[in-house]
Amino acid sequence: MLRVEHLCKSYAGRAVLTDISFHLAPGATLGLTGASGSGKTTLGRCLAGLERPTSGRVVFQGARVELQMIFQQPASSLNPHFTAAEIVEEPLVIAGSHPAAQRREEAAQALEATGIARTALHKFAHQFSGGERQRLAIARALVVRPKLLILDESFNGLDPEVAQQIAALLQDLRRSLGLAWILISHDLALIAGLADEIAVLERGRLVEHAPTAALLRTPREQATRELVDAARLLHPGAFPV
Amino acid sequence: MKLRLTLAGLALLHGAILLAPWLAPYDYAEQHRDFPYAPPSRLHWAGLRPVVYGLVPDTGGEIYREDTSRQYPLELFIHGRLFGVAAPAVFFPWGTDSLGRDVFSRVLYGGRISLLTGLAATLLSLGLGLLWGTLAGFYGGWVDAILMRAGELFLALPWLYFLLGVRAFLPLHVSPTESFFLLAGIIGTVGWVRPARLVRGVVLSARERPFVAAARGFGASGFYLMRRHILPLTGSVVLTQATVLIPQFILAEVTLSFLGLGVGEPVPSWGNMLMEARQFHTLVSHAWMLAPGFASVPLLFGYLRLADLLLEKQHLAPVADL
Repeated sequence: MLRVEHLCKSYAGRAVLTDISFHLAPGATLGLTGASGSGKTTLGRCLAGLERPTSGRVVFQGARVELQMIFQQPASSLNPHFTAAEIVEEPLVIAGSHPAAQRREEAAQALEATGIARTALHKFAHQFSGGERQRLAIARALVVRPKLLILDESFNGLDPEVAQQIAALLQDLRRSLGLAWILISHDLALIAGLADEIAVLERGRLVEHAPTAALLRTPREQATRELVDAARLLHPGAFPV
Repeated sequence: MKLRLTLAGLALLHGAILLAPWLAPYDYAEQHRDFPYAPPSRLHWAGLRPVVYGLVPDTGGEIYREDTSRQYPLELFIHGRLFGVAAPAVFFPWGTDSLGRDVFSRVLYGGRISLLTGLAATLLSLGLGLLWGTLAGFYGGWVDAILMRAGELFLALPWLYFLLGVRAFLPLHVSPTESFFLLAGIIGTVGWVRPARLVRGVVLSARERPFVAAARGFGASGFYLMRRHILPLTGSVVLTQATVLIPQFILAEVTLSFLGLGVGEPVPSWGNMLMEARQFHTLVSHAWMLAPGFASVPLLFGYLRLADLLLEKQHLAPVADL
């Protein structure tokens, strides 16, 4: 469904991503991890079409709008002057594909799919809790019936209970809608619990890409080993030794 | 509270200027040739009723004395105006000019021209600034470079000399309406660069906001992004700029009309009324001729105070918890 071929990205001559290649099957889930500054967010933005690669290409088999990104701080991706209805409806307004009444109904359904009551449609973003804003961002992405979601550090700042609820929601959506997603996070423990496969970035290079269990059991690269060791230290018992 | 008081004061001033035909005791062009440079009329009291005495020229023509043999009551709702006195008496609250025209009435009528010029020029200036700044900030790169360098070039022009040159090319007699549009157009065109730079700054930051990126991800066009997400964010800058530009442009009208570049006689504006006070003997003998200058002060002060209070409000406004 998604194929990345020799993708490179540089800013003012400074390489941020170098020769990245991988592919993702429909309905698959990929965890993208690496240390801070390794290029995770830039790669996510290139995949979502928000940054133009310097060279190489990203091939997505589907309409442009079927690939959606949930941002690093989902709350700041919600216009504070918009109501929940306006936020969730916006992709449909932009597409110009639905009459107003149908748009409102689609928005209400998307909101309900993420566990927010349709009575909240008139509320402004700042009137929701952190977890609800996260759900609002996901609802907005869902309203266009995407095939692939890219979640960029979307669990940051959420308390464990809310993070767990969002994780459960993503798993549900995957089962019910066949939604594939790429989860970008520096937290290997989080990724390991959610993704089928993991890709590790180091200084802009994709150094390792393997099924989750295999990568955790036998990390080949030094950068991966360091990440696994750190995760084991922070979450003892969560990983097979 | 301060903001409400300032707004109420400004509303009062605007109301007075707007209602000039009703509040002014005379028409702006009405001449009382028997009373050139008459000083402000003195009010007397007959019991609880305000009255004026008849005014008769004394020796010299410019010196008047009151004829106390007869009183004329100041009446409300007379001749379709709020107040006045019945003929043959005259009532000049702020005195008269060289043609015997009531200065108070002319200040009220003149305020309409000065204020309208300020408002129209501000509208034009903000419109141009908003368009220029939004395009420069949103598209960035070479579009930004070209638009902003053009703006700087505009700022570098010696505008006063340019305007004097333009006036020299115009016919000697330009109708008041043409003069008004010319003046508002020139002042507005000269003043757009600063709002454009401020708007550009806001747009440069706004276009990087995650919700703009999100909308772009949904395939939003540049026009949609500007209209729905970016332009609303420039609202506070535009509002504050308006409150700063209006008094500046009113002052510009006063200055340009004072120099003879504005609306011509007999239509009054605060600037062309002050022209008469240029002469030394007028200034020392008929100080009331400076009334238009003083009349503009509360209006300018009100707008500048409003700008301060709006800025204060913006800085103190709680940032949305997002």
